[in-house]
Amino acid sequence: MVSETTIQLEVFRYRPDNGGPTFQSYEVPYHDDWVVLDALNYVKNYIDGSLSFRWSCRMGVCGSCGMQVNGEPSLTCAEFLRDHMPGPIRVEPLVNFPVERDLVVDINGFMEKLDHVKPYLVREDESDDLSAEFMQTPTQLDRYKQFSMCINCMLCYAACPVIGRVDEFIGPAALALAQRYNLDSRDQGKQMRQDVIFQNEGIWECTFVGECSEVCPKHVDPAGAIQQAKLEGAVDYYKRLLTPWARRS
Amino acid sequence: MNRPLDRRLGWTWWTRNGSYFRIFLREATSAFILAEVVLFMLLIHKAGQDAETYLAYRDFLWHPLMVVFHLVALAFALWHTVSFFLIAPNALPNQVAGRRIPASFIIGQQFAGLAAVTLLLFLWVAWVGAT
Repeated sequence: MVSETTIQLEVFRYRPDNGGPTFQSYEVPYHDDWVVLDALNYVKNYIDGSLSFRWSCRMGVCGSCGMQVNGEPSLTCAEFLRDHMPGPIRVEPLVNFPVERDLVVDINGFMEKLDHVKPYLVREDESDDLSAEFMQTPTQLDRYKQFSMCINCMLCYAACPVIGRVDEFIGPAALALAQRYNLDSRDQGKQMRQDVIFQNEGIWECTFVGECSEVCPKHVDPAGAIQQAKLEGAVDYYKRLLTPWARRS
Repeated sequence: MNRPLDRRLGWTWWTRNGSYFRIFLREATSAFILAEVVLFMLLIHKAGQDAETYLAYRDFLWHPLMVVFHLVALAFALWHTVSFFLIAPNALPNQVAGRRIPASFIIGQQFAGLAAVTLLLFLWVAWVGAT
């Protein structure tokens, strides 16, 4: 059934075996409470089953449905059609990522970078009972909590112009997660992460454009996390320089 | 054949939207600061030469086109300064000695510092002028 009001979607299509990229228009029903992901699912279910895109939770938690909506990196499950009326709405895959097909991007590079920063609690002492509780005060939690809200949606990678020019740049989300664990009082892996985050392709490649923080749906502020890591790195450097005799852990 | 499509932002990233363009322009303000520093260093150099050379250079700096340039440089410098002050809290740890520092406090301290330094400079110039 077609509702009275409709809105036009201009969807990026790319099938590697079938020529270059194009845009395909679809007329979908307009509902006040529909998000762009609902419209894409309508296309997939009722108009064109060949359209490919990722999604999972539909509630801004899984981070799977990130796409460019009218040029802005967005979670399509949180982007209401009503905010784009009367349309059309242009939907593209996240930029800065290789496109596999239609709206599906290759995230292997991101996953490797994420792996490099060891985004988990590291305990150096092997005698630790890992089933034990490691207590933490609210103040200690407050130091990193904002950076722990990342859902790995990769919108920040699509917004970052450095990612677009330097393939090796570790990038906003991974560096913010490194900072998140470095600030965690239960973690002992800071030294293990330093080689990755202090290399040229780590924090120093960031020019503080700040768009990563603007597009972050969870207000993680990765740009802030990176600048804080830079400040810490600079202070550590000068401490080492001025007190070479001091014992470093 | 499976060919992933390359869609990187590339070197023209700053032309893509207004937000990027403003950031690019803000970074470009440093060119105006550099130009003003060079003009100032030349002024010091001319001051060490004869009066005629110095006065000719001073007149050059007061040329209407140069005054417009100075005003544009001042506007860019203020823009850069204010935007830098506003984002500074994001670049600093949120706690000092276990106490949370409000962003407004950090921003306020920077403006207070700028006002204090500006006032001191005005007083110094006024004192030098009076003696």
